[in-house]
Amino acid sequence: MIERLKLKNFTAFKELDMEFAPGVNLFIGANGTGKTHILKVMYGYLSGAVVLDIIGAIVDVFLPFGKDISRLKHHRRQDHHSLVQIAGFKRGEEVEYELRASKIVLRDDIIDSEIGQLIYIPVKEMLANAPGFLSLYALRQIHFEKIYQDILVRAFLDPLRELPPEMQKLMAKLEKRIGGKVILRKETFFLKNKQGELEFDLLAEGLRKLALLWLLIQNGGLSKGSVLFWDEPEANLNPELLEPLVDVLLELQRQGVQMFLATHDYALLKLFDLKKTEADTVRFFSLFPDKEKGVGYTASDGYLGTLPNPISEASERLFVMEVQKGFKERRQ
Amino acid sequence: MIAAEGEVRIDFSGALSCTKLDENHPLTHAMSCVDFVVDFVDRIILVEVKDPDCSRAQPKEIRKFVRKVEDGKLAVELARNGRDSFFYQACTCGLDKRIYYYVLLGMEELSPADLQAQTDKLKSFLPLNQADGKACRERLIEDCAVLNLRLWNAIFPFKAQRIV
Repeated sequence: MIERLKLKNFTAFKELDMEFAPGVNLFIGANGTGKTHILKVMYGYLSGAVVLDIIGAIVDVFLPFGKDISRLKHHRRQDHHSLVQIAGFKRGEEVEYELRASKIVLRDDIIDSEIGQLIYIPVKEMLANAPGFLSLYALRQIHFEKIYQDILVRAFLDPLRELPPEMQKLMAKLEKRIGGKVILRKETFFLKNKQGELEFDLLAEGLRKLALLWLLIQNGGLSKGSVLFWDEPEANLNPELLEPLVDVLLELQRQGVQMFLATHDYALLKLFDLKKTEADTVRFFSLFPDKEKGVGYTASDGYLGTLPNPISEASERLFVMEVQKGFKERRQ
Repeated sequence: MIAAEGEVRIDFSGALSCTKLDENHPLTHAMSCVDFVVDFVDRIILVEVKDPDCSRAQPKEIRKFVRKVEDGKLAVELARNGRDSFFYQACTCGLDKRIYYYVLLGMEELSPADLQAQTDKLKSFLPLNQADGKACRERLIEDCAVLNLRLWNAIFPFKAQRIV
């Protein structure tokens, strides 16, 4: 479980210190407030810790020009060091990983055994683009962040021999929504049901997202101890699919999956607020530009405390515009 | 001219008259009505006040109200009040002025998106002018909206407040 993230002089952040919920962590904020960077830096750092190449992993996830990690510093002067520090738990002891962009310090290179599978679902759905992508990525310098390769590697994994009953139930729920099971042939994903097999290129993108969750549950990518990073889960999803999606995510959280979700969607936020039970841990983070810290934030355990709330503010502007138009213009 | 409904006060200074419809103009048993009809030089505003945030509201009443919001019955009730009051106004005073219908919903926990959803629902139930993008030859309700106290005061010149 990721407990805490400290950033100093890193991308949009002059200084950040965030404590996370063991369950669902939701990030909102205007464009440019660093939501995706928070997800990426944690994913890059921890996946790099697994292969003992944190710098390389962060570079592959962010893809700064010339693969130059110093471009990720907020202030690029040589004497301004950057710090990325993540705290988790290893056998009851606190473990800290630390990185400095100019001076590299790995305070502890032992991998936290409590952190399980790391899954990053990017905004762009990749299953339909799977055929040939992995070999292309391995052999050519294509400008794709590593998260696109990683998610396909995760999706290609064979099913677990046995799944806990709760996970089987979740898969059954998802099957009902997507209308079948997912099969893989020659690196091509198909939806299989009584009517036959439908290649993913012909399947609605929103359903492909649910299908990806189905695959990740089936092969253990999402299981107890996993950490899920998902950038804009709502992208290309019809609003009517948001409720079943939130149900699945809350259930995964109950099964021990910690998650970090960046969103611009009102319904997604509100659904988490309405559907969480007392036993669930859901924390809402609102990020905003801050002169002193680069990016400031507030944290709340409920939707109403999520302030500032640019999503709600945008709805309000629209609503006020509509009422004002009706009241003022039509009477002229 | 102050319109008072429970703890809510709305200052309709500048209005020609403000009539509490349910007290002074009982409609027939088959009709529902809004709380106030406010007559201005250039328009008439029908005003309905719903105030679940009222300090005297009992938890049971609040739960009942929230259920009404959730199951869509609130919008149906608001539409009935507005439509019947519009009909009554048309029959008794004619339609020389444009008619607007606004609901002041004392429920601050509703977000702008929730209010937008309630407004959209209300609009879908009401005979609105230009509802399909075309002006109607007959005069219908000009516009309607469901607002909380904060947005009401942000948009309208006639200010509302809660007096506890």
